Amino acid sequence: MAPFLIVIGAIALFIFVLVNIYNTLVTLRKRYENAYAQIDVQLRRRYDLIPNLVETVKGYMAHERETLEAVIQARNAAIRANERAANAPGDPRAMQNLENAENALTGVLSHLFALSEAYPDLKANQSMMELMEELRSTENRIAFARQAFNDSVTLYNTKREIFPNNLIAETFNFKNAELLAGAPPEIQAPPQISF
Amino acid sequence: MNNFFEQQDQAKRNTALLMGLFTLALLIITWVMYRGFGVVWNFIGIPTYADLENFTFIPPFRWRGFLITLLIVGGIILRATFDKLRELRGGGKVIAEQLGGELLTYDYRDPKVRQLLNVVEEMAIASGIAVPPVYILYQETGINAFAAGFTPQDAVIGVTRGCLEAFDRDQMQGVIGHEFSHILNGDMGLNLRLIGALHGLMFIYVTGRTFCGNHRSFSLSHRQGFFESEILGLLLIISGGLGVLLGRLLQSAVSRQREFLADASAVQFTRNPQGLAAALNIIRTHPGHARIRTPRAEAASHLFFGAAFQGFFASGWFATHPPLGERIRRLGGQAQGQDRPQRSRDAMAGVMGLQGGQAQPEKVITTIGQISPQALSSTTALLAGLPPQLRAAAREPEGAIALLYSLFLPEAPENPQWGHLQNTETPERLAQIQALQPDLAQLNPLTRLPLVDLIVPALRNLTPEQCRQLFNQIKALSQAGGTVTLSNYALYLVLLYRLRPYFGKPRSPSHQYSQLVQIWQPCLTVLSALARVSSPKTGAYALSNGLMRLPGASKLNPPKEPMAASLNAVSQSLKTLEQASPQLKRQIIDACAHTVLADGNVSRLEAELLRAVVIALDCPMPPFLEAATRHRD
Repeated sequence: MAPFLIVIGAIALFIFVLVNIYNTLVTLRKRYENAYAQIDVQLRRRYDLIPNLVETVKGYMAHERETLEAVIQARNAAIRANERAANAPGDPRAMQNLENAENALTGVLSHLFALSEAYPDLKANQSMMELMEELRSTENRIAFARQAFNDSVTLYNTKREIFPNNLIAETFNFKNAELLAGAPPEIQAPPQISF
Repeated sequence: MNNFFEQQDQAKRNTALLMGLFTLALLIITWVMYRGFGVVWNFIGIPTYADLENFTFIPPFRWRGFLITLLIVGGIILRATFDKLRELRGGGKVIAEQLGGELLTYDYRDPKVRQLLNVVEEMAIASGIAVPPVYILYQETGINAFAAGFTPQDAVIGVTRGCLEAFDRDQMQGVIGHEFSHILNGDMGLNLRLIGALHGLMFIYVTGRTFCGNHRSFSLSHRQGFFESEILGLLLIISGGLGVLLGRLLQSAVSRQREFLADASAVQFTRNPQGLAAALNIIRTHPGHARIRTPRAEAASHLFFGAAFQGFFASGWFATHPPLGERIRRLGGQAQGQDRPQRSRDAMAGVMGLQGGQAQPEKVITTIGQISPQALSSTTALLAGLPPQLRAAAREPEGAIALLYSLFLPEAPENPQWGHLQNTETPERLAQIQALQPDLAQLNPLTRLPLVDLIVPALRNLTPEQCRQLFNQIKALSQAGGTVTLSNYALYLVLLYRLRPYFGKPRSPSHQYSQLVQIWQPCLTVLSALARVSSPKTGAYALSNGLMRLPGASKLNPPKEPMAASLNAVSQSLKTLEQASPQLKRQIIDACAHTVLADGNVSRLEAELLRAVVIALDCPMPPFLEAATRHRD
């Protein structure tokens, strides 16, 4: 009688722990997916602002057509990468894609801003100033949201890898989630223009 | 930092724990009584289930007998508990009156009374809850205070006469801050239920005592019956007493920790540990300490600021409050000698996270249910800056109504609202309204909502019929101008939700919605309305900014553009959202803040609407209107 009870008790305990771990992992995964949704909102805002930016700039910098086209291309690529990432937040390939696309976009944009330094009329334009302000605040929000996302992902990854959980995670298909790093430092530094 | 919403969840868990322990106590009492009755039955020799041959001193345990006893005893205790709880549903007012409290109003000439009322008013406005009625326990010379009520909406505060006379403004503010932290931390609902539980458990004890007591006066001819009832009474005392013991243990365990927490919160609110420490010191050296004489206070002793009773059952493990020395010592360890913060806009802006124009919506949630010292000093400045005529008008019912109507009158001298008023109001009131107009015209528009908070206490004393007339008139005024302006709508919402607890049936908050999908449509309606007000041009961004804060929103097909919604739809949605669980409310408020602050600007209208929505969700939100660094009207 007694050993039978002990076995039942052990199994019940095991199932209880299992359920707890599973629920925790699911909750944390949901949390980072939600965190991604907020990055998504800000990224889309940025993508919406860029065509306005290009239109405003086009009037002043008509002969810089290649740069403007490059911006539009980079933006479209980034939109596609974002769509894919939004469907699978934390998936390493999607995140890597998004990072690359975003870095490319940032690079082209800063090239554009660098060029626009030479056009004081453009800089003084009202809509240009508003757009720059909006872009700046959106960048800030992206950074903020990205930090929150990375925190959630780190928490999830940690919980996934600690001792009892890592045995169970594979069985239930909890994969490692990838962080979304920011732009590498060399792109963030303002480009040096030397004449 | 104690999160208001976590506190509410914690209070719910504690209530469940309370019910569990109450049931346990009930079972223990029943068991004792069943066994006790069994023994007595045997002694008396009436054979029921025991054979005379197998006579044992303690009869065997039979489930049927146990369950019958449970039914009877449980029925009595539960009946007593439910009666008490139903009585208490009238809110804190019931307790205050049972303790012998008298309502304090501005009619009293005593400067100390006015000072107390001012302190309570400031703290209520700074924390965003309705100004609670203040009662005085006139016969109590001990220094003590209490806060009672199920929710912040029906809270009352009481002080003893000793308290009123002994404390200066700083010390009084510390004590009131302590009471407010009880109100904001969600302690009170738990405490009231504890009173109900204790009352039930003590019922048997009290009945036992009356049995024993009464028979002293019976004549000798009843001696046989005398003996039996005495035993019965004794039995009741023992089993009831056990319940009281368990109840008191429970009471003390829950309330002692909360007292430290309330002390710490009071210091956090006022940034002035000296005030509270001085108050505790005064209690320590006062002849009566914090003692309360009314016997009814026994069941409510955990509601008080200081230990209300002395004696064995009020010390050590049974103490409802930690020792005074310990409390003073802990206060001394707090930040010493902090200077009062500057009453500058920068300080206020810092509170709201609106620093340098970069709005931080995440900060809005952290202000809910907290009183920051900046909010307190801003409120003091705001109230001091009000013209005395307006303040006086706000304090009595007639003036309050006149003031309220004036708030709904637009600036222009000739307008349909004024015409409507001329048709429907008495000349005295019209004269009063006109007298208030010049002061109101000079008033900073950001003070409109706090002004409503000032008016509400006077309006509480209206009859339900007068209240109904008031609301009808306000609706008529709002509609007389054609469309209802959003600013008036915000005023109307705040007025409705502040006055509702005092008129109509008492309602206990039912948090039935805990999943987003159950309240998806109402959320969309409210957030769309806020988005359209906040950023007419970039409404889609504002909406998604807020909507995506709600967990799982991306899976529910959020619309791209904010939907058009009538004010009625918004009101209905708010009614539904009020029933959401605290965690869900937290997310909703977070989403609203993100929607409103999406464009980095807070206009007066946005701030008013946001505040009205939060109040409609039954959460206390401090006024931050002065912190809007840039406002476009």
